[in-house]
Amino acid sequence: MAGHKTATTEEMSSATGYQVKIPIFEGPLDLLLFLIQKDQIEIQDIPIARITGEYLAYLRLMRLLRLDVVADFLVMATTLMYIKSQMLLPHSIQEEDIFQEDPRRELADKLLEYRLYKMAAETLDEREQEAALLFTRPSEPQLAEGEEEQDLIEVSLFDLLAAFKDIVEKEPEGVTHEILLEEITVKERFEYILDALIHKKRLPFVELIRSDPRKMAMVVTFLALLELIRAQLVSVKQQRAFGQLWVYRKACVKVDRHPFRDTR
Amino acid sequence: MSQTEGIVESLLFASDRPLTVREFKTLMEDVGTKDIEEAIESLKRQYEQERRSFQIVQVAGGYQICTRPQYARWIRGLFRSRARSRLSKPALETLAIIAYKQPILRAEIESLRGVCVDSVLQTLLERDLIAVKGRKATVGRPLLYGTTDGFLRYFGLNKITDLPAERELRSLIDVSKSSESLVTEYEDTAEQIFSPSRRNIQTSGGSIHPGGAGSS
Repeated sequence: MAGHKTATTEEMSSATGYQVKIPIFEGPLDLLLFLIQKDQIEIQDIPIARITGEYLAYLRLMRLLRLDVVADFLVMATTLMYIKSQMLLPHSIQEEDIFQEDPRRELADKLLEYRLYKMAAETLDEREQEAALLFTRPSEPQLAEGEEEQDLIEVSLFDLLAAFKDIVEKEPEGVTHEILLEEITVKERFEYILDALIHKKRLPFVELIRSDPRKMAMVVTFLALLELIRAQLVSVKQQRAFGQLWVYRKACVKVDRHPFRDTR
Repeated sequence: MSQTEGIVESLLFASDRPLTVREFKTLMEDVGTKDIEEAIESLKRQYEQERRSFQIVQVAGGYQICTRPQYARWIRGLFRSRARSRLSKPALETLAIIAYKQPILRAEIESLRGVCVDSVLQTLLERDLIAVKGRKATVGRPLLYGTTDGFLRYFGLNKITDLPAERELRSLIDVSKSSESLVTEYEDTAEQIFSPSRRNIQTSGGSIHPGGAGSS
């Protein structure tokens, strides 16, 4: 059932060629909470059949409006229908002793906790607005040794790949052709990159990749760098498009306890 | 104004980030914690009495000079180019979960919100509101997320526990509920009295604390 619905949504969006993504509801829990509040129902005692009906009606409406009905909403629809079926099943008295758990309980717990975070988010929202009224001295741009860094551009994965390809291709063919069993691990390379960045705030991308000029090592170094970027431990920036790429240490990195140190 | 007050004020004035008492002590060498705190309090009083356009606030564990809210209108014009965009609802919800449950896995956030949070996490990381705090020692060594000092500064918080506690959040929910539906609550009560067998679920729910499990 869920699979069928997904297919319909996809068909529709590909047929129209565009997809509107308006987050009317932040997610299935948000929609359920809305329905529950609208009908002034107690979360601990949800009339499952009625709410399931209303929930599905909203999904239909969202699809009608060509809103992006994401899979998460469909998962919740199946959960609701499952609970509904559980509630419909006749229970013998003995069974009731064994399965005293209300099938709605897990959902109720989830909704209650979600409502708490929604309120927490609202208080954060208020704080954000209040804090936005207070101005402090803007932080001075941190100048690196030598060159001035103004308006650095974040580098995309494609820029990185292109730069890497350049280095590998420009690498002069080695005069020696030794075949050795090379064991270079990604872990070793992130240690290397992080260590190199302890003393310097930034390093040229080329220099890092060439630090170990064996081809295999360059590939591994590149992979390690991607992993570090993903973990937000370093960032790669450039001053202008097609300019020199710089690998920066993120200010927050405490080198003595970065998350990979204890990795096997 | 005393010598100590003068130094404290000049440091606060020149600094682009909150300064902690420890930093004041390092910078001012032979001045004690108590003298520094007194100087700050005295400066606060003076600004208040003289109705200055700025104030000293405690943020992210330090002190900082900032303007008073009523002047925001004009200063915004001055800094038009670096106006910060407000956080979206999904971002705020995700951030709230991280703030209360940290350190937390992406999968746990997704289970609590019921939606995928990939791109939201990316935005929050880029804005330096959250950071990777480590990896959980389980299969796949998934990343653990937590809030940063940037988070405290952004929301004008001195420490993470300044966020409302779970009890306060619950009472806020009750207030918003009761203003919506006084009548139904009465009906509910009546129903409970007349049908004591009604199957109410005793929810365990997860208890939450700002700062996560680590803080009280």
